[in-house]
Amino acid sequence: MTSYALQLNNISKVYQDGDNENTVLDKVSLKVKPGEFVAIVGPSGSGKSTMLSIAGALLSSTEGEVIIGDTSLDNNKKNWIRVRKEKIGFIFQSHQLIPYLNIGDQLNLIAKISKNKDKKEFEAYADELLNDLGLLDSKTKYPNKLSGGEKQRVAIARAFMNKPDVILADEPTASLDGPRGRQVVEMIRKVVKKQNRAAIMVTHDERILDLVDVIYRIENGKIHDVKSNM
Amino acid sequence: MFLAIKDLKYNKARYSLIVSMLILLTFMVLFLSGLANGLSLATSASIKNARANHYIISDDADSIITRSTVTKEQFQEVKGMTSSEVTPINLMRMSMYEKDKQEKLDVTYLAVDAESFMMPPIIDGSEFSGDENSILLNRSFLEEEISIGDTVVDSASGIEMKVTGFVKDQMYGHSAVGIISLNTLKDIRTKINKNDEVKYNAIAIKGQDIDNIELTNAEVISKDDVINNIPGHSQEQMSINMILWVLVIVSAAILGVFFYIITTQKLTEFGVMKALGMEMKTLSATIITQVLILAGGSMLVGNVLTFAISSILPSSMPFSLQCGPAGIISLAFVIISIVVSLVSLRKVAKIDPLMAIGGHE
Repeated sequence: MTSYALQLNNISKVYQDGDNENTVLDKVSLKVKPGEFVAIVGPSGSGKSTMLSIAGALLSSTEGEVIIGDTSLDNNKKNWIRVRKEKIGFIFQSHQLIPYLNIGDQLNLIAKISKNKDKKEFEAYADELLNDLGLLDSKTKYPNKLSGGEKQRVAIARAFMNKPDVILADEPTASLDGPRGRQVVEMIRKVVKKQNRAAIMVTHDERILDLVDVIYRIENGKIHDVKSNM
Repeated sequence: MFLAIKDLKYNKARYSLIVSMLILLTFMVLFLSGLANGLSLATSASIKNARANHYIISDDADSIITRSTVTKEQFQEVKGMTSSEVTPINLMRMSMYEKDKQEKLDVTYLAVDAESFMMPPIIDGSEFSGDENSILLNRSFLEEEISIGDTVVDSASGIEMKVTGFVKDQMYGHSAVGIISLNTLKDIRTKINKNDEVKYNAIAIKGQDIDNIELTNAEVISKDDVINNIPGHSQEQMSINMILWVLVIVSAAILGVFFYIITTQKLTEFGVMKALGMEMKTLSATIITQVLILAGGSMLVGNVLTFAISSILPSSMPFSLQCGPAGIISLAFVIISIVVSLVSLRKVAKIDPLMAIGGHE
């Protein structure tokens, strides 16, 4: 058993562009422990989204090894679905909630996807999450009745619903203004710490970096700098 | 199931538009089916509803009863060749008028032996006796204000016949039928041509014992062949049925296109669901369930609507909707709908969940 929630070992991603090889990620390594909140920053095109996609079992790496919890990702895409279902919680750039589901059902959907049979347990957990995120009163509301910050908070709740090993957040503040963005990241931190889960957040918003534990700076596909707030 | 129903409930307005369109299309298709069947009955009801399975007609008649002649001798011969019941019939298109009125009415005389199986049930009126010249009219003559006890006159011979009752669903070649006895018909014929011998148009057979029937210049043909060879019948049926099935396919294609558009609008959602770990088979089940609910529901409502309207149509309209064909059309529609929705499924299957992550198109 490893003590890491997520390990990326020497990950490279190379795109074939005609005769040229375009190296997006060059031997990137990264380890995240449970309870650790990591930010990946860097200019656009630096490869941070690619890294997140590879860590999220959405994209294959050209080289290297991805280990989530105790599972090493292979190249069988069928297994990827299961890994995403069981071990990963996604928070997308714009909330990506399903428009025709109310908040309760957004979380319900995750229970259906993971075929959770224990309805009581999952409902109690959903209520706990919504309570932590200050959304319990809005449980029957539909996304179009929520503010941007509230929607992103629902998305956070959804990401934690399957009790994943690692939370992957892709620019979660991109569609929010400063104070609201900060509030959303605070929420992620709160639940990460409370539930002792690992989280990786890709962002270019420097103002929220004091909320994370470790900051990886990535440029031209290489990790340049690692800074710890702890 | 969960997603399918939530989506339908939330987007009520959008889906009810589709449903109302489908209901109208269903109505149109079913109505055509009723019309096809009604027209078929208008040309062939007397044969279709008769209890005969086969007919013997002369082999130069192209399977058309009214062109055929069978002699009395042949009838006697046939009786000895089969254990099935046989009876002669005459079918003759003429015109008649109500006594003391000028207006001529089209009528096809179906002359039968009143004691035989070719005698249709009387829905209104007294027993039919073949002795005196009497006639049983198809119910449609009620609209000409002819009633029991009236006298009608055959235009060609001037022979008077008393209306003793009414029968229903007796039509041949778009003309209403009057049932008369073989003797009455003989009277009419001898009045027109004194030298007329007793001849029949056909011999009806009730039963399956036909293998030993062999006559010179005459053949045994099935009821279906007789019906299909009634002039105009198969041509009408073919063109109407062609329109009908084209409509079924067009309606299903419209549903398919609607679904394709809706699916295209929801591609991001489907991509996100895949990223969240939803398997393609669950997504497929969701889409198929929606198609089933929309197509099946519209079919059901369309059927109810069409059957309701068919009960208030005027009886002069050739319309007869039957459960069998309506069921087949409905089922075919739902199946075709599912087949066309596979195009949408393919589109969903192709989405890469990677699109949910920013920076990738």
